[in-house]
Amino acid sequence: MAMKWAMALAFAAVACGQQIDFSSLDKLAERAGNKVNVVNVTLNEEQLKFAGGFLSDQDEKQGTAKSLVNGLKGINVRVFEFDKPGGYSMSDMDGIRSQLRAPGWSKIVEARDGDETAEVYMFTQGKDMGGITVIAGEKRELAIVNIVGPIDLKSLGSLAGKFGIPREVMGMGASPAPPKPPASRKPLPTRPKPE
Amino acid sequence: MNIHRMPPNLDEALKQAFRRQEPPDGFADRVMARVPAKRNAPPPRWKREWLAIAASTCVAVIGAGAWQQHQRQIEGERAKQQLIYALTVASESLQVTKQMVTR
Repeated sequence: MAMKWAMALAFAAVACGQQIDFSSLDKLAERAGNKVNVVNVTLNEEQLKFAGGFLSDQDEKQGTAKSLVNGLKGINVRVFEFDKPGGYSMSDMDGIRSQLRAPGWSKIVEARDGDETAEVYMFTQGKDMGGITVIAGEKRELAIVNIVGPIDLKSLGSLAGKFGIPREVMGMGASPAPPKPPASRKPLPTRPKPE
Repeated sequence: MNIHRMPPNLDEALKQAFRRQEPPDGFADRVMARVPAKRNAPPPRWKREWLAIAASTCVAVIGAGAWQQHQRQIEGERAKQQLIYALTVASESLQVTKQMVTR
């Protein structure tokens, strides 16, 4: 019974549109021949509040992060780091993009530079911002971020490069390090043409 | 200086002071009545067992509480790091997009 309720709630959240289901990306990690490091972070509203409680108000960066998290209903992040180029194709993103065609979502930025691509989608309800999804990829890395709830993009952008990310907390233990966040990717090598 | 001079009739005064005197009637009974009946007897076995159980329970409850608090702290720190990671990826993805647009 509880499981049914949980599924109903999860479905309702997805049906509301802001939350994107990343399960279509699971095949990337399972695909034969792919050696891939995957970082999967999924935090719901309750977990965000819990985690936010451990952010210090004394620290400027953590204070900014704390204020950003206020009012958010969820953050979902998937980062894939492939051992060789071509570990994914643009068609792998179709499952995500189809969800981003739902009412409320609109693509606000699409940029391509060599092998590097970036797409930013925003969810709006009337005049209110209800969420954001970013797809950023290059030939060996792919990052998809889905933030559910209103977020100050200026403050979010200001956090870039300010935090160190200890790998052991990402549940990867002694396995290979999690992919670096996309900003660290400097060169823009070639990637196979999108299908 | 007559500080060290013995007072007169000292022997007599001491004898008077230390003379044998019988206690009043019922004195011994009244004293014994005030003494707890089993002052020196050990507590019964059930009482000792229950005290041991109570003490063990207290230690276990306090220990469990401390452990729970410690676990919560660990989980909180982990959630915090996950949140920071998620925000960092989001932030840097936006930065990359911004750089690509302005390039």
